[in-house]
Amino acid sequence: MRFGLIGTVIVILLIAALLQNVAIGGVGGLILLVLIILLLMGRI
Amino acid sequence: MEDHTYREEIDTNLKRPTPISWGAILAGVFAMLGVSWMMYLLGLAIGVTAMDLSDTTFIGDGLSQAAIFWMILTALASYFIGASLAARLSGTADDSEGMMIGFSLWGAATTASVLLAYCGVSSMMQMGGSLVTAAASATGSAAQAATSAAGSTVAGATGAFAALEGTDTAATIRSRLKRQLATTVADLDVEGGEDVTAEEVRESIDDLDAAALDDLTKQLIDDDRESAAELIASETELSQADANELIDGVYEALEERYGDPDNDTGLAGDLRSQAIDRVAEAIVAFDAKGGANVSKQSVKDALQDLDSESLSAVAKALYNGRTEKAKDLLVENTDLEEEEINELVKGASNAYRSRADAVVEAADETTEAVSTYAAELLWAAFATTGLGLAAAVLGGWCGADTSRRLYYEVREVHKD
Repeated sequence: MRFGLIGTVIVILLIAALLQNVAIGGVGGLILLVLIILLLMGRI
Repeated sequence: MEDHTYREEIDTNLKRPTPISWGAILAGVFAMLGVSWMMYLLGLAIGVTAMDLSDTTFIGDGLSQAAIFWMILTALASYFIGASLAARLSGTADDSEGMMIGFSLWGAATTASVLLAYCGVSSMMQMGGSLVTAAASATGSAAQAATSAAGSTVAGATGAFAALEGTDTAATIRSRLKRQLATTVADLDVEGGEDVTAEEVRESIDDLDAAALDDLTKQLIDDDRESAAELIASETELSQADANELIDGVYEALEERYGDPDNDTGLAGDLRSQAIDRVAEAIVAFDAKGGANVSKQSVKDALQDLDSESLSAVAKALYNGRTEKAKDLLVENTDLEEEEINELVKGASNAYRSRADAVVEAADETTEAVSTYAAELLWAAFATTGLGLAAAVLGGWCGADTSRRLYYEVREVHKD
């Protein structure tokens, strides 16, 4: 599950980079941060 | 019956692995730096950064709430992630040890950010040291800018009259002088038979300091060719004859460039009449409204009579608000009518006063804005660092807790 989630977020970030869209990239980046924290806490 | 108290010493200094793991802390520091860099970039993209200290209009608006919020969020997220990573990588299962690792990581990362700021990577992070440095330098440069602005007004005010010294013309003359010296050196080399080698002369040109060059420039502007040649001969290893030839060459080149080809006046005369023309224009522009009309020609004629010392004395007196002295000087040294002088002095003095006041006011405002901004920034930096410490300790605790939950089986042991 963890790889699926992080993979999805990275794909979203890639799309944001291609579209040069700060909004999508920003939200994606913050979600990635939350995912990393959850990963470190062993919750996902 | 006697009571005996026995004291038994038990050696509890058992061998146990050192809880600190510098590898884990280092990894945590890098993770923390990476996350805060990413957050900084995101803040830059969505326009909530606090780092643009060069933009005074930006500073004038003060430190925005969004910028402070973003700084704090950055510190919380990056220190928490770094500390929990360090605690988990160190493999400790003890909450207190995890917190201590978080504290150590905070110390190491803060030191790293201060060092990075010292090395000039001030935009690397939005916290602590970098902001302190940036704020301090911004305050300093604002004050400097204000002072130099005020200074240049004074220089501008007096310089308008005193004319040539320190202007572009003087600078050009100076550089031309150097070039001509170099050319002469080349000529000497071709002619040969001179005692001085080209290398020696080149060295002595380099030895000519700024003050000597200034003196030379002044003497050339004043048509004082003999003194200039003497100065060259004494300051360099050129002979008097060579120096004379050199100065004549420079003078001719300057006359060609700046002088008026239609008259026989020397360079000084031409430069002076050009300067007077400009100054007269400036003075007539100051002419107070509603008074006696002073024509440009009459001002020009009057100024012709003034030597350059009295010219700057008049300018200085006007600038310092000592209008009576300026009037006296003009009455003494020119043939302008008393009434004309009154009008001129009134106009010029007002113009200088208001311009100087405006500059001082603007400088005060800028300094005030930057100081307020710097104070806010320092406060925000302190809050950020403090909250970062809390986040790091919490992160270490959570990391150790996770290790214990994942890798250790905790059993309740009841002793009877």
